[in-house]
Amino acid sequence: MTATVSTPETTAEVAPGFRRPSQRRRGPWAVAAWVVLMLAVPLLVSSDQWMGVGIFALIAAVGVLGIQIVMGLAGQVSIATAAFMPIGAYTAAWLGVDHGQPFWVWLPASAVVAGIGGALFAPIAVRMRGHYLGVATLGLVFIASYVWEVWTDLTGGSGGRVAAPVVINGQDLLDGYWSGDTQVLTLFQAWWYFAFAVLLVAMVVTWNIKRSRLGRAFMAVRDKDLAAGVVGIPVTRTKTTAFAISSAFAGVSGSLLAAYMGYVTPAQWSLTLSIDFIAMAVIGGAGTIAGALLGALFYKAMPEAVNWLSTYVPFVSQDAKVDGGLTAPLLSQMLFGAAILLVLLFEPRGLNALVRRPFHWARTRRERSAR
Amino acid sequence: MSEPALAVTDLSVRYGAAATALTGIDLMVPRGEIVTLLGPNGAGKSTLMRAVSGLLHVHGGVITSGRVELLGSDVTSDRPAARVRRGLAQALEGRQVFPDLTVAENLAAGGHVRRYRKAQAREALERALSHLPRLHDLMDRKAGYLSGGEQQMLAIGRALMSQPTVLLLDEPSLGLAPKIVETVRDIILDIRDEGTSILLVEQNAAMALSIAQHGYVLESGRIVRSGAAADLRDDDEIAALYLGVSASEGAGSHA
Repeated sequence: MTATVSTPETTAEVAPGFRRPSQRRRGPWAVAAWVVLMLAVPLLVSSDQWMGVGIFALIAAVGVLGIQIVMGLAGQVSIATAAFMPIGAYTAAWLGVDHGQPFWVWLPASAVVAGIGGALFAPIAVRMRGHYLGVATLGLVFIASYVWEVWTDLTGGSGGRVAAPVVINGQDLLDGYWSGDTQVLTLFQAWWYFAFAVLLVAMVVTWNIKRSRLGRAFMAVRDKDLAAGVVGIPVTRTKTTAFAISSAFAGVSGSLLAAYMGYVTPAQWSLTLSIDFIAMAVIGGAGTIAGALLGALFYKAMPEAVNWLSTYVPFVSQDAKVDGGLTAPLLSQMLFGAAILLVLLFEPRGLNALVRRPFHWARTRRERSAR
Repeated sequence: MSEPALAVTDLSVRYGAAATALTGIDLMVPRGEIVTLLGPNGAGKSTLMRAVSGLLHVHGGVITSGRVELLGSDVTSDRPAARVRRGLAQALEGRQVFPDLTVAENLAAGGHVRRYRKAQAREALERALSHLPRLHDLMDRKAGYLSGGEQQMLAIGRALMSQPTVLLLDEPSLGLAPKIVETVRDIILDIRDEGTSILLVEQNAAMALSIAQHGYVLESGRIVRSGAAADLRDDDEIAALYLGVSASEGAGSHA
């Protein structure tokens, strides 16, 4: 899956000095426009339900960026996201709730502890490749879920525990943001901005990694690790770094998710969660930064959209019936599955490439007419 | 300055418990010269290259005795990256470029150990490209889409990006059309003229002996012949075995 991931745009990103002038000029404007749009979303979207979906997508996108790094850039199969997210979540809960630390302590700490977790797993991971590595990371998810079930002092056992709150100026964001008696931001608006800020930092970090010497080392190891060794790239250390960074991103995503939900249970860190994240990465466009958000948005919003659409489809009942038949949840699942297949069928490089297509098309047209 | 660029002394290598791949290899690459290593398939040429570049362990090989010295320093137990930092670079057999990276990125990866600043990277790039002008127009292309000859040039260019004193070239003419082989040959000479010492492993003995000063012949893990390239070229036995000339045709002063 790493063979045909990067679009012409993304490869140009990592080769400073060799970009076409047109790309150099437009990139920052596109990013600025996107940031403005993201900041405007809470003002434009009035539905709490859709804001909630958006916040889940922003939080998930942080974890997907981690997958983009370890799988997309470094080419190492990892199904272990569901093992590293809770490390972040429980680190946050332990520091934020049990020790009363503020979010600017527990959030970075969740990255560091999960990152260390990833680095500790790396010695096993670097000995394996491809499918074997995938299965090994799978094992990690099972081991981790067992640990969360039995480590009741930390996790509260299967009943779960309260998660670390995000408190800014003495206000829990889950209550919205108040100035005196007037609410400035609702819960959803406040959380949207908070999650977006964290995602933005994660994106900038990923972008810098991609363009750096380290990012190039990741891709060299992904393409041909023997040749990477020949040019003097330390293969084992590079893979370890990829796992550590990816796990750190997963840790942040996990602690954010727990904080937003307000509660953490061991059952939520199942294998399905890992699969969801890989699906988001692939649908969005493996190895791409914008693809992380696009994939997460698609994955979180599509079921809701389909659900909403299915109310307009005749012969579909809203609730489950005793005699079977087509129900809205059933239809929405089928359509969601179909949507994934369609994306992958018509644009294997994911939504990122799909979104860029018109721009790419316009540019080649312009260049052709210029000649 | 007097020590050779590369010196291999009494080197023995084995794979696994039993299979001995190399026995008592002595080989030297003087500074600024091209030395060629000839030998049939399975003679141990690749093993010797791996022992020099430090990648033996990847293939399960172990050095049982002997030394590898780079510019007078013992690097026998150094990691590959440390050897590259000391001035060793290698263009692997079968090109082995990074197929999903562009030519520019492949070249940049070649300078990994040098931690270049922008200006230094540009300088190294210009130097490498001065030997390989063909790559100029291919910078944005993915390496996987290049022709065999272009990939070979990229592999050499990538090796040059670390600004090596010793360059190992593993079968650079393998699978290339005669005309391209000629180009590659000129590139190798060009690089040598800049002062880089080259160890050239080749099946194409005619090409290798035409540009090398010294040659070694490896068979079944041992050096069976060595000497000035001109002498080897004139040797009937070598001519018959490696140059595709029968002993009677090979007019030769027996060295």
